[in-house]
Amino acid sequence: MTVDAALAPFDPPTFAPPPPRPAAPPAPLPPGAVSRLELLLRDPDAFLEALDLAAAAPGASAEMASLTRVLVGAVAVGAGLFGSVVGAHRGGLQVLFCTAKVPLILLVTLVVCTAPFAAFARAASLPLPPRSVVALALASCARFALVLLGLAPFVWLMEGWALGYHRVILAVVAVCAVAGVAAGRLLFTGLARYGAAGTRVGLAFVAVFGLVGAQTSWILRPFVVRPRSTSIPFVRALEGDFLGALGTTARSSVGSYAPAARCAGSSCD
Amino acid sequence: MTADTLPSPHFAAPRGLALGLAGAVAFGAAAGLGHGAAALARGAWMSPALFVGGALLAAPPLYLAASYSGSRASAEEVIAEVADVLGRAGVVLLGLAAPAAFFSATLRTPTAWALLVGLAVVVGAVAVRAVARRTLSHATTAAWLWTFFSLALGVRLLLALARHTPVAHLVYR
Repeated sequence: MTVDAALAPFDPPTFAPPPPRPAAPPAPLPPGAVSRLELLLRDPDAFLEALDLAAAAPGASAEMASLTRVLVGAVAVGAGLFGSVVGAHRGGLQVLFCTAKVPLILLVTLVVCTAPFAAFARAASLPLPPRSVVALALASCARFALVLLGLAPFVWLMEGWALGYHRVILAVVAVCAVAGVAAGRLLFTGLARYGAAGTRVGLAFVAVFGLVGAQTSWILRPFVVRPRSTSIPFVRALEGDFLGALGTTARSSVGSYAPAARCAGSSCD
Repeated sequence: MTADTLPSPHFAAPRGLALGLAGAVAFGAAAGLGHGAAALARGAWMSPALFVGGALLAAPPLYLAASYSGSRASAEEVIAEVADVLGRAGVVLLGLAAPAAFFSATLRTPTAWALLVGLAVVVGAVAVRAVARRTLSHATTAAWLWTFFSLALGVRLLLALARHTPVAHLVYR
């Protein structure tokens, strides 16, 4: 008797691999607002399948309208609460201002960028009707806002450590970048189903959305107010641009206050 | 984004030309919106001059490149491809009119010019590449030669048009 034959009874039994599960049919959108937002956050693939199902259903208009209300509400509440945490760095009236302004950034940007998104999809011949384009863009924004809400305590922690004006701004930008990745995951998963052309449409949309979003946030400033500012307006006069200000902030945060980097006018505040 | 991977549905040549024209006019007018009526009018003629004019100037060399590189495509087919891509570029420009108007109204630094011209250049470059890939897919060298020629033509056209803008002093010192 060989060793292998002797040890054979002690070998773990081998089982045939389980038969592959039949693909589950896509589930419809859950009824409650919270369940829908949970699905959006936790399982983007299932959310997209449910969205397709809802868009193709006979009573699609009512279902899509209900979903739109939920998503707009998520943007308003999620981004609003994040805004109030950002405004808390200065406190007082600024908390209220930021609670209103941060959701406005997302909603204004979305309104401006929906037309280009639909145009890119049309030019690339994606089988994506304008209604689905709007739903996908809005869902991505809602996911962005929900992640912002989830990371708001991080910004609050940074403010509590008294890291200073510039570093708090960089923390806010970093949190926005993380939320952007989460939103991009949903957007690109939704568009990648249409092949490489879908991905290219997503890239073009993200480029336009990023530029418009940066400019909208610039015209709705201030958010984190400089400590030496005495008055805090709701919005400042139109001057300068976002890219220049970001460069100045990055240099200032490492202590480099070159003459060229000094700001002028009310944007200094 | 390139239109070459998903060629259908093709825009008919007159429709493509009309869409290209409409999109370019809308984008140009929107880009000048925040700077008064004169800038709006200037944008409304300069943008189609760049896109439609560029397409018309680059089409004959494209046909020559196609025929000398062994393509059997007729002039009509080449024109149809150019018009189709022009129509798609027009749709994109029509969509970009909203952000262009937004930037024109809210951005008061030279970045606005750079951004809007940059957008137009990117759309133009992608359209040129799409035309090259569609009509000269059998001849890579000819496709690249025509691409560079068309881009150079676009730059030349852009510089000529810049004479009529407030930033002319930056281009022609």
